[in-house]
Amino acid sequence: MPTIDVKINLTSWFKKYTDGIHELQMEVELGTTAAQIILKLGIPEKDIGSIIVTNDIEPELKKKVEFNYKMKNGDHILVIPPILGG
Amino acid sequence: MIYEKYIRVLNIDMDTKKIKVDIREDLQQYLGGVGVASKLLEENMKPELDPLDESQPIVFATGAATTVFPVITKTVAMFISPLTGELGESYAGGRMALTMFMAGYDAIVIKGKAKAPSYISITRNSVEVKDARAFWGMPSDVIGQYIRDREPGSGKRSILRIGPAGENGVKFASVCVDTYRHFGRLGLGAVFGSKNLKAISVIGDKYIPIKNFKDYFKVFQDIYKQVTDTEIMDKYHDIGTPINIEPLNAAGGLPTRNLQSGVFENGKDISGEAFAVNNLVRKMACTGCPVGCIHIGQFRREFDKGHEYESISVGYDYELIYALGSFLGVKTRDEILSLIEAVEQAGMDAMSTGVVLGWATEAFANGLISETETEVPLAFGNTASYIKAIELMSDRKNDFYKALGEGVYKASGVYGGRDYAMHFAKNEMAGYHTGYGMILGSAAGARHSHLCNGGYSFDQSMKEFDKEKLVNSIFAEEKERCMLNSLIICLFARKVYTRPTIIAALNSIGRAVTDEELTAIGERIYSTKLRIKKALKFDQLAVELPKRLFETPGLKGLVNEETARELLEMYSKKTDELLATEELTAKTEQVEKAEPTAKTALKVGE
Repeated sequence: MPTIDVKINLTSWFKKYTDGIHELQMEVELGTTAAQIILKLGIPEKDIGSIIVTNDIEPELKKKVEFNYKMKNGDHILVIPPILGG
Repeated sequence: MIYEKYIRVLNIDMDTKKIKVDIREDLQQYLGGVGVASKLLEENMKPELDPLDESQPIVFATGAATTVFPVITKTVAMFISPLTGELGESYAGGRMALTMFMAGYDAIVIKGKAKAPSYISITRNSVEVKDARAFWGMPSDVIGQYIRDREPGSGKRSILRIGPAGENGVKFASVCVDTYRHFGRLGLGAVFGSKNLKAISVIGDKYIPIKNFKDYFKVFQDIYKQVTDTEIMDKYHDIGTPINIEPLNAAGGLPTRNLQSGVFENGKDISGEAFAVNNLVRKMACTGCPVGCIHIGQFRREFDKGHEYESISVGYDYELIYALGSFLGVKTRDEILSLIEAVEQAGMDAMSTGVVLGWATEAFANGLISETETEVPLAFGNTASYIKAIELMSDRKNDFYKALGEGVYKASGVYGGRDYAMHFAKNEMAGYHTGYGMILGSAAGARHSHLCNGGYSFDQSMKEFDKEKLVNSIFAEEKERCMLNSLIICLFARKVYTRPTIIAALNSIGRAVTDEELTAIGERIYSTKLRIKKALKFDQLAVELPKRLFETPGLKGLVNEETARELLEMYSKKTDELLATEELTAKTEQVEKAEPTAKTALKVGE
């Protein structure tokens, strides 16, 4: 199975799932979804506000994606919690 | 009042010093809080006159379940905003709701202008307008101490007061409540100043026994457990709203340097975690709240040569860090805390202050204004200049600072740079550059605050951008928050206070309501606000949207003005429909009832 390189960036309290590390580099199988990566880290789905993807190849392109987004080579996903506010 | 079928309204005339108490059964249909306050504002306002005309009212109201359940801690203030010229609505925690409740008043209406600087003293058995000439010109923290000395007494006490900015008519002057809480937004402080009203002291000592304690306590415990034993409120206590800095910055949604960017390169240095680790010294709570979300930070200030320092404690939260931090390019936590302290001393809204200074900095760089006007070299990150500018603004030192004190919309009308004057319908923007939800929510929201409907949260939660769905969601949330604010639940706890919980809570204190009634109450309140806005000539479709919103990529990349305008039109149709329906319902009910509403005048203490 071919593999791809991706980066995961965690902010806020999500870092507790990675012992305080905010950026992880991973090699995953082609076809892996954002959800598979995030849930593997132990972050509950209900705690996720949004997932944003940028790509090393086209860094100016930034998009909000869903859990079933299939990762591409060079993708950089940013997992952010719901905005706290009144 | 709890267990009563009426709303008890205290009327104070600052000019004549006449006091009157109304017993209003008819106001029960608004439940309490923002519902009652909106109706009282509508009855008492003079749309044809200036917002700072002495005859304009200030209305305070507590909620239908104030203080008897956890996290129902706030008081609402309603007025005509001198900043926007239309609906003024602001909320504050602290002790005021509790003291009003224990003094026996659901609402207070203040009109007229005192002949000399005055303060109002309210207790259960007396209401007096007293001399405050000696306090005029003093910052709010000092006034708090003096009022405490002058108004001794038993019971719970709350003290509201304004600083120099309110006295001098800065249109976004705030009212400080019990040290760390404020009626911050939309210029209530200037309305106080226009009435020569420096402060209000409320002392309450009325004992109100709970009937049917068993049922009440069961509901209370259920709510208390949800608040304290689940994760729902943890984040508010732990790091608090400053937790937003890091994720919003990482996602490009943190307004930086007057929204020239959505990313602040020093974001990590001013993150919630950084404040907690380095500056946090205390967490506090409003009375009746077990959460403790008020974060107090400390910084060191040199007050004399020879290594003479003092430690200063100030409250901080996300909006303050955004407005006086990233928005001004201020890179360190201590500098941000020192700016918060300067704003506190002046008595101004921190968000508006940051945004007007952001615009002024860019206008300065673009040559629209010079040091002749500003007296200090304004530059992003130049904290010393900003501190001086805050003082000059508060004192309305010259024509430029007078214009700045009118808000960013008016200042940019005088000096130019409207495209980057960051406001929604003349109210300075909040710290969320998240997309269409934020733009629509703020531009269409009744008071043009991010809190009207939480538009920013839809930018996050909506799976796919759908115009109709977004408009419907924001419209529904605006009505729902009208209902929540009739109670007045702290919106941080809105996930705890679901509809079934609200119904159970109200039923347990003798106020039977159904789900349908709560929906109707929300719509009734929103309609009242819309009528007020209409009377004040607010035109939804004429709202200007600063071009900068569409030039700087945010959480979702770039958004365009055409779509934003389309959303506003769609929303406007919905508010027109709601108003038409409510007017029809009101006419039908008038014909059916054809009996006068109950309005009885009592003396204080009765």
